[in-house]
Amino acid sequence: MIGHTFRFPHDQLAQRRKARRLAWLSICLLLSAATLMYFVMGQSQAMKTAWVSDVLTAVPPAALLAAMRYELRPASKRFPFGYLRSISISFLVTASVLSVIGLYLLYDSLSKLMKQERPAIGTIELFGHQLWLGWAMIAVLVYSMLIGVLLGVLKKPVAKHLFDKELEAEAKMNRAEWMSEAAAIIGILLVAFGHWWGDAAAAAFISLEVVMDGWESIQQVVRDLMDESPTVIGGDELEDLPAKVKHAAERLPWVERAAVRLREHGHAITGDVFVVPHADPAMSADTLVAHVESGADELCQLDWRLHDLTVMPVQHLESIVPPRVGVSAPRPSR
Amino acid sequence: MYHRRPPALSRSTFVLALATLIGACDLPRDAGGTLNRVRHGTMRVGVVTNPPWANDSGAAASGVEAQLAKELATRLDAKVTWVRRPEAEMLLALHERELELVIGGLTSSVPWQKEVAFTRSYYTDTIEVGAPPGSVPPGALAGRSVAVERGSAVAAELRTQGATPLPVDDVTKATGLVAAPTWRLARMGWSTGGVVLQQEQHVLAAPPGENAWLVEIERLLREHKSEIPTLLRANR
Repeated sequence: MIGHTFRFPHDQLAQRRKARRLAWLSICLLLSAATLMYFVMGQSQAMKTAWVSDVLTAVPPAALLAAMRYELRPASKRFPFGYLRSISISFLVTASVLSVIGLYLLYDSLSKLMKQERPAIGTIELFGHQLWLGWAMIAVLVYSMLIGVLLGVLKKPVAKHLFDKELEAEAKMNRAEWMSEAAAIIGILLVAFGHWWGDAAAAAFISLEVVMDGWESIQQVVRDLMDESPTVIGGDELEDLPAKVKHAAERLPWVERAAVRLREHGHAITGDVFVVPHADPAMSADTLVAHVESGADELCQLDWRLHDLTVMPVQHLESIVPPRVGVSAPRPSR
Repeated sequence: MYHRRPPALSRSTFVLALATLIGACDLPRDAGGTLNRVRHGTMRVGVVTNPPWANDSGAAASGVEAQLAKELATRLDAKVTWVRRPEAEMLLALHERELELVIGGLTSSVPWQKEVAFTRSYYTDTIEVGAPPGSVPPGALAGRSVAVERGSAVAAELRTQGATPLPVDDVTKATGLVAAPTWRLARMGWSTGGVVLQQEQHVLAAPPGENAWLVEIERLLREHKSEIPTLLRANR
């Protein structure tokens, strides 16, 4: 039935609750690490960058939580296609924040390196002992590293289950965080051995990683905007779902040939199924309409993500560009 | 319930173990080898004249921070060369490692944070309003006139609290309420009403990147932290 609000199957709903809990857990753990980092930051550029990077990894889960609030709202007069795409907006937020801040951090670190600014790292008082701040930094970085790895491991299976690209990207980002922390630890160790440039160099490496995360999110949001055919989770390869729908449509008794185009629409997949009905002069318009409606419902059963499929009877498939799966579209003439 | 070890004990054991480890490795090290040069060598100390923190008294410097610098030199078997130049010039020289230390009442709020390495604060200077002996210090300042050193930023704070600042050249000669650091009020024998106008974190300045040196200075400051109020009252 076309125009209905998308609903998650029961099993997926449970996974979504888990995803939401994980998002809250991420925010809390990341902010706890960020707070500790803030107190031992000193004048270390690597520490400052690791801190910003840590705070930034709390942005995607926050954006995801916001998107989850909106995406299942029913369609309205102003937004007749519903709010499913809010997940892409959360990618957009992540992409812009990470890219802009990442580039700024990179500039900041490189300029410190060029100007040969040496980091001053003094001492702190801990449990009545005086301790070089660098050692405290390393301890906090190790904590932050463990958090990243833990979150990455927890998120990955949920992302897979939900076919959730945002969550998958988040899990990847968490897993990649260990490199930032390792870089910061190496930077601080270099400073401990009297190599002042280790600090800014580590900071530059971390900023580069933030920029890369931003770049990946930009790519994802551009693909979403371009109505890319569904891709497999955690990869670039196209899914074979359009072919599956096409074959299912062609198995309908009244259909002679079919062509399908699908796009990811947030967590759902929407698209068009063009069908050429068998030449049957006896088929009335009413019968055809009934066929089309039941056909759409039947095709939507193929995968829980399929939603709002439009079944469109046509006379020829050749006139439709680019509905033919497996055949490359003709180049646009200039 | 299963207890492995009291957490406080394991924590301090951990810190001790870490400290031993670090001591053994002689870390952190200076990027420019300052500590090694100062030890059995010369320590160039820039002095900003700012009593009672540091004062120029002929060949050597005096004051609380000059005493601390001398103590540091004694400990490292170093000779002190006192340098007297404008504050900005000395801090720039410090940035280039042409000096080893700058003293003279620097606080963490001066805008040199990013150019040089400030030590951890070794003393918090509190500026309060004091009343002469025999009178009761006020709990609120609205509508009161308070004597304050001419050109001091504290006057602005007095105004925001509704008081009228009376700029004077020497607060010790004032007869009514005065705004002054607590050590000075104590020295004058005046009492305070607990109205805090300003708090300044006092620091010393070292060259940036010389972290072994910075740790050495901070160790000294930590050991002498408790004596600072006494020193302040004694130094004139």
